[in-house]
Amino acid sequence: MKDSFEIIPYSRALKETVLELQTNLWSPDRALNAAYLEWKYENNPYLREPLIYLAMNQGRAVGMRGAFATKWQIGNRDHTFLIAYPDDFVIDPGNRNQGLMTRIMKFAINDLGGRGFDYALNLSAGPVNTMSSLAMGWRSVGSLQPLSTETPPFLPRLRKTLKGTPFLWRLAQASRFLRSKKQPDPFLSFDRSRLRLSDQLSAKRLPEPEAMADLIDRLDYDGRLRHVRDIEYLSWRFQNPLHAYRFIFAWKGTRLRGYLVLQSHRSDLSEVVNLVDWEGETLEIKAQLLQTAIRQGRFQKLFTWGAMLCPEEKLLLKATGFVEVAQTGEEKWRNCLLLRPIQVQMLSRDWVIAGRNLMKLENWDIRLVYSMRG
Amino acid sequence: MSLRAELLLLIRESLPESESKITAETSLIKSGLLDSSSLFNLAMWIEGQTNSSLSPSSFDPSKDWDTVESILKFIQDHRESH
Repeated sequence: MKDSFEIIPYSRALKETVLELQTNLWSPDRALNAAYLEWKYENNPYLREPLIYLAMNQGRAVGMRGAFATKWQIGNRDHTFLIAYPDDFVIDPGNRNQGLMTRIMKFAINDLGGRGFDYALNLSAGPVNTMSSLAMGWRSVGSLQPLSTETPPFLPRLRKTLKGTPFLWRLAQASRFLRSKKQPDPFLSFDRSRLRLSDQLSAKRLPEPEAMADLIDRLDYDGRLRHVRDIEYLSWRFQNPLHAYRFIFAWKGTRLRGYLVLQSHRSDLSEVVNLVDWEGETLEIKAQLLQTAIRQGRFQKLFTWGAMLCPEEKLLLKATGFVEVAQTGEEKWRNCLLLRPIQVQMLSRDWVIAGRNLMKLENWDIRLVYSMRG
Repeated sequence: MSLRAELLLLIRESLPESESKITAETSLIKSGLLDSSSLFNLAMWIEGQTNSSLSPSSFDPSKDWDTVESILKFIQDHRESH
């Protein structure tokens, strides 16, 4: 059975079959999938050649793993290097349980090694992907400590109350206003708020790459491993066609003093909004940004990672309703920082860059924006 | 049913018919025999048998779970340590 599959690298001629396969993962919309592939793999700021690996069966793509290049810094701002980020794992439903994931990843690791990558990283693996990664030499550096808020909106809360009340439960079923109705856009309330919130605060749909990069350059850098956030990256990052972003900026004149980035999935009806990046000259500015986001957005559920935040930032989040997401059951297999060296001989050695042990979570500064989940 | 028999049944159910003749020493993971969802099911089953919550940072499936023998030993060790 295995012999009917061939593992090959992607070429432009295979784009259509890839877009079809990805209707199982990215979205049911092939045009949207094409836009995502082009943004992520063809217009990646660090590597324009898509690193996509395919399992083919009779000319059709039945399995895929894509890796895109990410640029990191450690120790000082000038020490930068690329890390491969394998993502987008999908197997056609009719071809599962045949070991294709392992075969594709072995091929991918071999190819990435030949291209000079030393490490591969993944911040967005689901439970099954996490487990299979661990079986192939990856290690979990630790949990990214998910935090979330959940405020049930008024009408569903009322409906729940009525359903549990004698004589009134029929009202809950009959009333059009009380029927379950998905809010189509989690940013509806946010967008209704005035875009110019005050002289110091503004809300926008697009980033300010130059001002954001300038702010990041002005802020202290503690040397932990983090993604480079320069103009090139920030100009590219928020063009992800599967996601929608909103930005709140804190200004003093023309100088950016802080920003907060919110993200949601365009096709996801769960209405989760992720807080993907958050910077500020002071804690007060960060608090102001967070409070503005919550007040203007009135989101049903906000989500972020807390592992890398300082104690004061965690307190701010908790004061605005964030609680730790219990890491039990399947949940603990998500939100892991997964890492592996590309070269097999490195697997048994210490994983160190610039004197920092990569297996220690405290040596990383990870934000949701570095993950394709954000 | 013994733990060994239960484990063998779980593994055989997740394999294509042509590859269901496994022994206690058959490589399940390094060989790529078990696919990703079967591995996850195995992890859930092991958690149930050890009555403990596995931490993704605390074990190496390719070493600790590569054969039926090693999985049984892993369960035994975890039962004793809890």
